[in-house]
Amino acid sequence: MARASTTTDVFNAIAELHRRRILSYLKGGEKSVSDIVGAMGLSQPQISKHLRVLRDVGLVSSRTAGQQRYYSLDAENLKPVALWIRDFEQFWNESFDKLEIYLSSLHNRNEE
Amino acid sequence: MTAHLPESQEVDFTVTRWFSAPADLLWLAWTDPQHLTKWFGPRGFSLTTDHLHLKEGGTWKFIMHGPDGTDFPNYVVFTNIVPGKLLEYIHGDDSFENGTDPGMRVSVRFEAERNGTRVTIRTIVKNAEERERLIREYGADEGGLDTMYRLGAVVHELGAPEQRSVVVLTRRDNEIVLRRTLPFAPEQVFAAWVDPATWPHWLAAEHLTLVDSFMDLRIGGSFTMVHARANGQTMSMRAEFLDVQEPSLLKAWQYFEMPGIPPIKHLVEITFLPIDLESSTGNVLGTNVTISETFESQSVRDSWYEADRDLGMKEAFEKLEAWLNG
Repeated sequence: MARASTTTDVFNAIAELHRRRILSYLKGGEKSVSDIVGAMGLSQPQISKHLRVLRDVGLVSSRTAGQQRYYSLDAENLKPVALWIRDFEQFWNESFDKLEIYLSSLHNRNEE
Repeated sequence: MTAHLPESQEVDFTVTRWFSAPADLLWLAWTDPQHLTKWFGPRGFSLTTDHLHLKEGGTWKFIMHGPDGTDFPNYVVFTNIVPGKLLEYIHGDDSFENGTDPGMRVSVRFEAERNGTRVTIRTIVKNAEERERLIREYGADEGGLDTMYRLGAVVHELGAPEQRSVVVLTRRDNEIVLRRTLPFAPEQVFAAWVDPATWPHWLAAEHLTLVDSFMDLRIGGSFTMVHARANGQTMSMRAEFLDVQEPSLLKAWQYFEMPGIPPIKHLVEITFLPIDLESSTGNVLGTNVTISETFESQSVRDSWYEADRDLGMKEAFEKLEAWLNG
């Protein structure tokens, strides 16, 4: 089941370091498979496997031109990850601020 | 500086914090030895700078003095400098000065965000074993959290407001660690944390009403928190406690549930550890609250997307950029 979820879940797809590095690399624009292989220092089959996972979850798209296949980033599908992290941080920032105020009010009441 | 490292195995750990301060103030705190000595490194450490030449290829040589009197020689070579925006360097000890590559690269980003500045320190090491070693032997994760906290105190000294934001650390894949320091004893913080009667006072639930809560605080026990939106839709957080150590630790499986969405399961560990805080009236006992959240999770994506689809894209992508870049 672990494998199945990798191919359907953005979180699992980006939990893998090499795939995050591929995404970072593609931020610079469309790249051919051989560019990616060269930049990552992994074998072609390894890179192809990672690219397939990324394509299955919609994080990259590809097109073929001549002998080469080109990949580009579909960052739209990373939005849930970004939102999750942002919400998590913002939620706790607000909660801690309020908790500090609340504890201060308890403290002041006890002092009176 | 990439050819000699087996790049494919490189991993990072990243610590980030939003400051209520302009970027140039944070840049000053980062680049002036007089300020660096007050915050660079874990709590209890101080610095003596031999020299700092802030230019590409320039070096920074300093000694870190540990709380137990141990001295740690450090040597830094700056590889990229964009004033007010980006600082990149290679960080090593005295063997680096003699030419041994330490294999540790650091990038520090300063980004404008919500009337303030987000600082993100990303440390890249050669492989996951090295990262684990730095965490285990040097407490690199704790050091990063401390460092951001101390940096906050320095920008406050330099005229910015008191910094209250959380510090966020990602040290392993799939895990987010978040810390806030509160000027109250662990017993006080813990008591409020586990008492449902206090939740409406402080849990940030704008536009939401707490409609149901339950707490059975013991190992094997559980808690429930149900919020309702104005339109009647409910969201619930349910947890099963794996460990409870009053007043220092809570560990639980937590399930976030909304109608029409499969439950989102997280492993959450929260520690409440005492810390001495310096204040104008002398030292006070405070608490470091550290929340570590590990998501496993099929469908987290869809659920949070549903929960929040109306939010703008811009800020989300800034965060995304930070997540990807460290």
